[in-house]
Amino acid sequence: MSDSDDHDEDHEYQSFEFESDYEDEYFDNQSENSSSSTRSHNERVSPSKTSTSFNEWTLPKFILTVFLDKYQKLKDSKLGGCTDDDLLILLHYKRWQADEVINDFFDNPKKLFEQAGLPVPPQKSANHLKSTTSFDCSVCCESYKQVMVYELSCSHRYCLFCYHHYIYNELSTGKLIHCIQPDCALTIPHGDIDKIFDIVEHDSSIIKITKPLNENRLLVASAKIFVDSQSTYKWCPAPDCKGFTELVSSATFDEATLDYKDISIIPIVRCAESHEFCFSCNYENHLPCPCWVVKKWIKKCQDDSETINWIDANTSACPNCLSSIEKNGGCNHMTCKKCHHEFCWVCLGNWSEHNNSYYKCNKFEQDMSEIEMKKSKSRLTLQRYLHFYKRFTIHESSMQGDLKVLKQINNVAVMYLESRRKDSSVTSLAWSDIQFLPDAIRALSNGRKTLKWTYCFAYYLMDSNFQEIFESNQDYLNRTVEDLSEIFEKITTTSTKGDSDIVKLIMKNKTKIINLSNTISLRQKTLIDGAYHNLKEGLMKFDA
Amino acid sequence: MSTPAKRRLMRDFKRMQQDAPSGVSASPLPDNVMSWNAVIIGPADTPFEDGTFRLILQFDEQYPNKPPTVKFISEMFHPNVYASGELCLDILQNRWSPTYDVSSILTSIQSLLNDPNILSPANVEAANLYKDHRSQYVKRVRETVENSWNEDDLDDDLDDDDIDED
Repeated sequence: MSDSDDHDEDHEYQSFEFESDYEDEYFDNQSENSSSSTRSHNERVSPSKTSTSFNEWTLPKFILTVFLDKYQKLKDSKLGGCTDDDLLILLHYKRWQADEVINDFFDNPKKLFEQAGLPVPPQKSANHLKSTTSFDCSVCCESYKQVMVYELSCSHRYCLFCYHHYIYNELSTGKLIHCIQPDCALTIPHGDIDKIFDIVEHDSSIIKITKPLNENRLLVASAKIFVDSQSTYKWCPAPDCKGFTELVSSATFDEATLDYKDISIIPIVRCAESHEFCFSCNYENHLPCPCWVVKKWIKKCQDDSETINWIDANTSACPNCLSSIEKNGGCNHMTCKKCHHEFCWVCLGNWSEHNNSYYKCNKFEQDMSEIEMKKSKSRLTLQRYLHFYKRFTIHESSMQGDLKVLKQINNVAVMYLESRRKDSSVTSLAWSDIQFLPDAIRALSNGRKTLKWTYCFAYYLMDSNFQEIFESNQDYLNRTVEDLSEIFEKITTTSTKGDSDIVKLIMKNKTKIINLSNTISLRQKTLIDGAYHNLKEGLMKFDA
Repeated sequence: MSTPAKRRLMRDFKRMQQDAPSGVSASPLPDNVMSWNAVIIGPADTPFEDGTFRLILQFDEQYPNKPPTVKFISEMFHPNVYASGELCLDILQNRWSPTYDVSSILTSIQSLLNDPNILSPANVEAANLYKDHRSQYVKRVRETVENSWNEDDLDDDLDDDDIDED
């Protein structure tokens, strides 16, 4: 389903045809195709037509491009009498505007040097970092027999430990750092800052490796402040991720008009570590939900009683022995540890009854609600909410589980490669041979993320026929996600048993894993594209 | 146990004893070198003249890399002193330097008394009176000066209360 001009029924038909095509490929394709597996997680999952463009940054790359590029140019232009340290300080002082540095340099060099905290030419910088004997530091009041001291051209001399403390505190401003003496305006060069840190933190006066300038502590601090202060830059919200993203252009949308129908304008961006997030609300990729639906949903989830929701959403009583069970990963096929009863985590029915109609338990049955009609309407609303909320949190917690698997899988990969290496029949072996495993987990995690948000989406959706199409697409995705998840659960439980078992298991399932992860990415795309078209055409509407 | 902060504070104490700047005095509590009591005498030829204003300086292990928290315990009427006694002074916040010590903190506060910074008022009433009704301002300041003389008695009362509670 590609063209928005399609007739309604074509939509439906094409959507299913596409799915069935892929189904064949999924089951019939037995040839290994590892190259296609790498594709899946590199693709940004958003509607095909998107108006958002962005740059992915890391701090070192940013410093190199935005700060040091100017430095290089200025170095080439050879301002008379300036050392490299001086140039960097002048540029930093002028907020990396090379033109201003050049203009001011030729206009009034004395003033420029004074303002930037440099000795005025022809006086040269005379900074010393040296070892000295019998020294009393006036900041920490230690009397050292021998100690490293630092002084700028002003000859205000302090021990290196005090300088280290002082610079450490000053770094948070991202501005040039001056001599400790408060009325002395001389600036400490960037390189000296790193030298002082290296000596103090590594407890040695020999510096073995000089850090590249784009990892300089002051430049890093300065870049951080810059990113914080610019509205076109945002840090990736993923935990421990150091990447950030610059929004180059996006369709403007007014958050006040809740009613916008085009989800392709949601600025989903990616950081340098391939985490996707929404630039507008700084939340993870929440497609197919529009930002306002996300906000509403999150607020609703917070407003309702946390504990009841938590117990209801995170634990279930075993249908047989009624012990409370919290699911911390893996698929929905549960086996009670106490009574060994096998059941489905979603509907709590017997697993044996699930065979074919496995994911029927995904849909909110309207028939059921007719019985509920007798009960109060508010109870029904609560139940409807809990239905979606429960599924939302199931996927959320499963995503946490996937993260754990991702950590384990590297060990499994090493184990696999080691074992294959010993096998003399295998001639060539490469790290990329096993790369499909982490790729598949990322696809799985992304699939779950989309799936998670489809429940929020469905909660606010008005009833229509297209809702059914949406739900069946949801079913398809859910099924593939669960299939893949089950394989991974097997792999992680086997990984403790030993090398040979795990290799056999991975070899056996390799094709399946690759195909499943491709299918997940494709179905995810179908789901989002479908939502995009139907919302745009007004075929699906939100119940605001 | 001696830590860098404590060693530095002992030096500050020595310096206060040997050559204290005029009009200020300070000493650590007998049982805790990290807490200091200080007195600033209002500078001559100012409305604060002859006032004995008492302060508490609380240091932590980050000193001298981080400034102490300084608080007036005497009642103050000054544009840069909050009702709680905390004060708004650049060298105690973002303009701190590790070269400052107890004596330089106290002399800075002393000079702040007659040279308030009206642009960042902590006490709006005091700032407005200072700007527009200087005589009113002086009158209010003089009241706090007089009150500062009676504080010793007040303090004794407080001590008695503490003992009762124990």
